[in-house]
Amino acid sequence: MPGRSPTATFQPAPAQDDALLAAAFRDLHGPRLHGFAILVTLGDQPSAERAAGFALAAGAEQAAALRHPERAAAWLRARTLRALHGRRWLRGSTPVEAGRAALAPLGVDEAVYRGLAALSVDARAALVASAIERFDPIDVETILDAAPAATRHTVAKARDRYLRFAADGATDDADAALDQPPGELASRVQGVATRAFSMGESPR
Amino acid sequence: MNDAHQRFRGWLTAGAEGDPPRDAAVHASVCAECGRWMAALDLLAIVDPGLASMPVEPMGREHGRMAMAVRVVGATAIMFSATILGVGVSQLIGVSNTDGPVAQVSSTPDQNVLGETATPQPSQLTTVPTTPQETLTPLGTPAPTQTHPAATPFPYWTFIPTPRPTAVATPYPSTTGQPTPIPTGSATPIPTDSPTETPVPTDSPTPTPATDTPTPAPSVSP
Repeated sequence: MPGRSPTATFQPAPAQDDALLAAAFRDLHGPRLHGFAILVTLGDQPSAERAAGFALAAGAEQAAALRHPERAAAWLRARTLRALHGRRWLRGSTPVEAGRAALAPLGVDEAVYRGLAALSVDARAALVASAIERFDPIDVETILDAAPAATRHTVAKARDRYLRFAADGATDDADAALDQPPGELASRVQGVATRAFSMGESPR
Repeated sequence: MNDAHQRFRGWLTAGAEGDPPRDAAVHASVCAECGRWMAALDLLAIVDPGLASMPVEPMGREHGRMAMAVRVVGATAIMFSATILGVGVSQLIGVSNTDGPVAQVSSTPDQNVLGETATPQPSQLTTVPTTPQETLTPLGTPAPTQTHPAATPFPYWTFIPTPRPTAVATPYPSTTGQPTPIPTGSATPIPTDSPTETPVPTDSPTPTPATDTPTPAPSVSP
């Protein structure tokens, strides 16, 4: 066609742009959002998939209009959590073994399961968002839909309860994972202690 | 020792950000319980939600079901509105096209209103005085009431206004020289000086027949 740039025919239409963006949004957020939902529901696969699916579909529809894409993950989790709250009456009691089987591929072992099982849905979401997914405090506030002070309180209580049930209630033979080589946190604490013992430094 | 233990626990529950206090770190490095706490949090940190699969899009059952429900509700609302609108318009058109005898002048318009089911009675309507109501009537005489004829055989309670004493201008005793009629006393009985004797009940009651002697019962003879 005369007067028309040959490259114009290769430019996707706006609708195609939106579709591509929505697909990219799903690929980027889908699996982790689903994992978050599985953790929060303690392995209730149907509820987790339904809640995450609805939230992901809603987010993908609005992907083109996102003003703060960096907050999209928190928004999706907040929406997932809302859906789980709204559909709590629909969920049946998931068998423990089925829940453990759903959580095992994510790296949840016995001690972690015990600690997560001792928490409420909100506390679990707070712990997963802060300690597992490492969200910023402002994102955790978005997920919990709570004020900063309330969010801090919820996270602290969730961590305390998790520690009590995951570590304090552990038996020696059943929790060999707790005696494994130190992880990142233990290594950090060990480093601080080593520096304190070294010559030339006085403890604070 | 205990204080360092508790402070290390507090540091962990507060988020374990930055470095712990050194005395607490020194304590934790040799405390088995603190080591378990740290291991529990480290185990939590290695959980990876990204290993989950892609959730299934809710395009099937529930999404479609919800959309279908919305569509059904919307269609029902539109049909209901259209029905109401149609009935209303048809009523309006029907009233405006009426070409029956309704508009005719009739002495008994109730027949038309009631679909000619009513039988006009030998009505008081025809006996309604044609004199205007505004005539002055003497005080105390109620105005002639116009009662509606019983237009329907149904026992409807028709509202008949109770006769009120009309505000009648009482004719003032005029000073114009016309003699006002003096009421004659013939109508009202005037007590006379000689009272008539009223019959006094007699003191002697009529003797009742004594029934002390029982009458013999008729015997049945063989």
